[in-house]
Amino acid sequence: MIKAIFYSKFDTQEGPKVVHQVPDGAIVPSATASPQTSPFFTFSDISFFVIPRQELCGNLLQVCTGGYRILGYPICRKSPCYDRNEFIFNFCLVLNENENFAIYKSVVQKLADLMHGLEEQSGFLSRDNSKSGEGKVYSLCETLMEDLNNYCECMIPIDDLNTLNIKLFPIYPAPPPVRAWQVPLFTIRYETFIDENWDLTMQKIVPYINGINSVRIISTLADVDFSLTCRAIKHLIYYGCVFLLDIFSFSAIYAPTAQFSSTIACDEGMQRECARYVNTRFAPTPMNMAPPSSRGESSNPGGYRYDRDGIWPLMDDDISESGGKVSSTNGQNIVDGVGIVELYAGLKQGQSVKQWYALHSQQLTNIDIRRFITFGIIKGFLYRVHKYAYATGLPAPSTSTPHNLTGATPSISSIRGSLASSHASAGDALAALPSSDHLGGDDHNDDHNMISFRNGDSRPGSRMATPPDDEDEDFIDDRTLSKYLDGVHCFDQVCTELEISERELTARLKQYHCEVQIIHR
Amino acid sequence: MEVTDQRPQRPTQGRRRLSSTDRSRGAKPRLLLMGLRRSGKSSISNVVFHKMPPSETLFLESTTRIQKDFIHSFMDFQVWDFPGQLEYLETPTIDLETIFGRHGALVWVIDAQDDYLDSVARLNRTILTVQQYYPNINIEVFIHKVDGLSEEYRHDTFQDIVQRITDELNDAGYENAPVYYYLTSIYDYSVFEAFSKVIQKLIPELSTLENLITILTNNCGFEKTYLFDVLSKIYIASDTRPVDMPCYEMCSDYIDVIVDISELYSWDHPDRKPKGEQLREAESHVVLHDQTMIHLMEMNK
Amino acid sequence: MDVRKKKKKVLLMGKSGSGKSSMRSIIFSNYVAKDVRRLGATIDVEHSHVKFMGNLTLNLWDCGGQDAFMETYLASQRANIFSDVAVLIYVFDIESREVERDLDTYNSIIEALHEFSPGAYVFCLIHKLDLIQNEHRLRIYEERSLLIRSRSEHFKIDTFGSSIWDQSLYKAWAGIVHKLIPNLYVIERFLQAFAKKIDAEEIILFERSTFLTVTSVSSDVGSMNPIYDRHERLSNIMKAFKHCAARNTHTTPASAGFLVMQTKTPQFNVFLGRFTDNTYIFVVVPPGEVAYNCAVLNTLLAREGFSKDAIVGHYEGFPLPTVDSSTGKGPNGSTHPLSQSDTSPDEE
Repeated sequence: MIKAIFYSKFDTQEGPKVVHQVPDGAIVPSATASPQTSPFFTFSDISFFVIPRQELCGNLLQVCTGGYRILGYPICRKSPCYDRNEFIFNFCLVLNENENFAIYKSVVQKLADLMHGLEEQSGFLSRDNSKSGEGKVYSLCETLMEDLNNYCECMIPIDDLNTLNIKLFPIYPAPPPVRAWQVPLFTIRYETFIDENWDLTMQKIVPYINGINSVRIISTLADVDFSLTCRAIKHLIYYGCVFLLDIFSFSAIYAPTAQFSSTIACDEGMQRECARYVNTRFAPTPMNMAPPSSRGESSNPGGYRYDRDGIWPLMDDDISESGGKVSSTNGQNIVDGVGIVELYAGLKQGQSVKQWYALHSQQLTNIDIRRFITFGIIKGFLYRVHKYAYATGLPAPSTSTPHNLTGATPSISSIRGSLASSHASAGDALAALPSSDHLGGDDHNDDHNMISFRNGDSRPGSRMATPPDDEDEDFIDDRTLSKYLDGVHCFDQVCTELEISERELTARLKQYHCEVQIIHR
Repeated sequence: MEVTDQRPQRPTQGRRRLSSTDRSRGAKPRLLLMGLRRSGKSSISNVVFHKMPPSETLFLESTTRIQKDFIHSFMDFQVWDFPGQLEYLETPTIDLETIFGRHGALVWVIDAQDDYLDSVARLNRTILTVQQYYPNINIEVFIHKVDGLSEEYRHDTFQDIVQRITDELNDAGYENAPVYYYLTSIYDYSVFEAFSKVIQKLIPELSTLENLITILTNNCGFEKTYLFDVLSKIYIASDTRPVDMPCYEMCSDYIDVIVDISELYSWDHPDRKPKGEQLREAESHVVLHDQTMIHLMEMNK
Repeated sequence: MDVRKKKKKVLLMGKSGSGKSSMRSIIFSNYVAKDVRRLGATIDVEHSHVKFMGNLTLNLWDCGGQDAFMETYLASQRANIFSDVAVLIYVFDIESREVERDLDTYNSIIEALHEFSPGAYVFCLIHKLDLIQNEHRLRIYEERSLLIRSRSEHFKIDTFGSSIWDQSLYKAWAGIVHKLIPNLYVIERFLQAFAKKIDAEEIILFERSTFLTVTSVSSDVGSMNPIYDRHERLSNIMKAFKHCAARNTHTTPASAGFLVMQTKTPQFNVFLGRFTDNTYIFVVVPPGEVAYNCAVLNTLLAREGFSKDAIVGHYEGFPLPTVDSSTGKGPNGSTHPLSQSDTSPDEE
């Protein structure tokens, strides 16, 4: 809430002076104000910040006094036509000191710029000799305060050419940087918002945002410069339209977070929401080959349009009211809330999705595994266990000594040991997975295929990624690789930037001239 | 002999002499300043000959009649203002003979910031009249108040005025008229410079003077030498090297310094007695922060 | 030394638009009079440190004179503004139509000053005298200065009439500066003795950057000069030429200047040169080639002695010749060049 707005100027005889104030008497005592109003603070104490010396003009200044915050943007217009060659003025907002004032910064600045322009055009302010509490400038202050406080926006016509348009925008924190290997997913239905006036880049990329394509792939598919893609996605994140995921792959490892027990494990609503979201029967088409735009709705966790009987939860009221405990009559094919929680609980450190799937393939028949994982990530009770490679600098050991630590602590394994045990032939195994075609979760291959279509970028020594059976070790030299082996570059990043699959990377790491540790965390 | 000689001699910039022309000849050149009302004649004469600060000329009242300005200098100087539509040169009351009888120059001032067509037309009539009877009179045109014009516009105005005058004179059968043009302003030294050029033409000994000065300059290793008229700070002659405005300005301001200081300490009192022999002519020099030196020597009174 | 190093707080006060900042800019910031039109108003207090005579730093507080500012000076800022003041310079606008009100304000300032800095010097400048017709100037100035004196109870004040358009500004400020230089009598005694030695009519010491007169001595003949404001006029003339030199050599006025200037005329001879790091010496001697050259030489020699003593620390840079050193012998080096003056004519 704006407590007061006042217009102050430098009078060459009197000095800093409050010309208009809304409400009357809020800043300086006024004869016309009601007797019980007394000024919020002593103007002369803060006048130096309202009308500062010339060098400070043109900057946003704020000062706090007596529990109030005064925001102003003093302007000093120099021209020989003024007495003493200058006209210094400031339109100030008064807020409560503890109120979030960030959104008002742009208001004072815009007001100052507009007034500066008006003054330059016609001497709007310097020729305004109306008494305090009267005239155009006063009514402008009055309307501005009323409108902003009541409607958060205003549109005040000033003259034939100028209008004061101000809207208070909430300010969100700056979004984190967008990385090439991240996968954006809409949390809203963008079709309901998009129109032809949107930014062209944005229009080009949104059809490819589907929770599957990584940023790099989106930029390739949309034929948009990578940095522009990042910026566009950043904007979507800023306004909360998009959520960033990791690249889904069957060789990836996921584990529940500490929130697991407090969210899905006890929240039936969430279980039901999950069931609706992951059930493949809701999916309109097989996912992997469909045009991305047709799947927009699938990315909305809350949006379920394909209500059908025979799945859990049934859309009938009685069943949904009866809660997640009731399992459906269709037997194994339908997973109820408890089943979902059990499935999630089955994910753990040291076990890839593929292994997990192998254990639970019965329950997962009608479940879109990618969505199942994604749901957990979005809700925050699941996290991706990333793999990092770290070159120890020791010579490559001849025998492997696996230290496969699982659990809460990051697991570290020497590459030769762990790879052999947990991730061997991940790619080959995928083909054999049942229903992997309509699950559409086969990102590993999908991703890989995309990559192999692309030309190499400017990276020296890069070239078109080769099919997995080709030998590509020759093309990624140790020097290029070594900069990723400091333990802070995850496999997703390495794969995306080197444009190779995870399997190839693993194979390549085995050839590295010294010992490489793989860290899971 | 002088103390200054003991120091490493730096390039000396400008040696100047205070001078006035030969009185013995008794025939001072005569300068007539003409032009339409408010073209800036009085301002010019006050700035050049009366040391009025240019900013104060704004308050000068317009001259209502012929103003004779007897300047104790080497020339006669008169300011004429032309009231109304009179064909002044035809009026019998004005004795053209006394004005143009001797050699001299007619300086016509045109206000470049104003509509100058009328002024150009009058100038042409004047030129034709004067030229008819007194072909010895130099016609000099000051395209004045150019300080308010942009560089480009200044040039265009100059071209336009020159073209108009030349064309009209040609039409009247007076071809290749010896008319000279100057861009002037009282806010810089251009008006002094222009006057210098005008006056130099009236000095028959100019070439001799210039030769002498050039020889002096070359032999002494000076950078530039001017022969100044102290009162107006117009230079009568200089060596043949190109005139450098900053140098000229500095010399001319230095003359002011000397004149002003002289005023402060030249009071007469019987107790003021010289302590020894000294040249009758004043002499002065100053060494500036960048080691350039301006030397001034009085040539004659 | 402590006293010298200590910054002297100089308050510059007066009603808004009375010309405080203008004169400050002309004296200390190398502005020319016509440029001050472009100055803006001073907001609150503008602090500046002006180096003067080398190790004397004036801590100049230029106080904006608008009513609102004056009120804060006298109320919330009172102790801050008025403590440790060495000099108050109060500027009155001669054109002011509210003389009584101005005097009331002045009186409150004086009271505040008395409260916090009772030992301060007070100078009142009656400014913009150029706006008064010449024949009334003196009368109006004197009337006004009487009024001011009547309102400055605890202080003995000096008043000056001034205008930025002529030398009166230099006169006023030279007077102020004169009061601020410690041990000035030492310098004056030296100059007196020196002037006598070289038979100078007048010797003036100018501060280098401002060209303000630090001090001057005149012989009996020299003091008969009918032009009383010649020192201020000189400041004005030389500063104007300094601006011209700066303009035409493409440097800033601050860095432009002269190393030496000599002028010989049938009535007098003049030598102007750098004396100490911060001063110019201006010597006027009667005509006479030989005597003049001696005077110039001696001045140069005296300068050496001067700076030598400055390094050693004698008399804080100003050698004090014994006043009765007519014999040419003195305890320190400074008399050495003086003693030469007796012999140098023979050398020429």
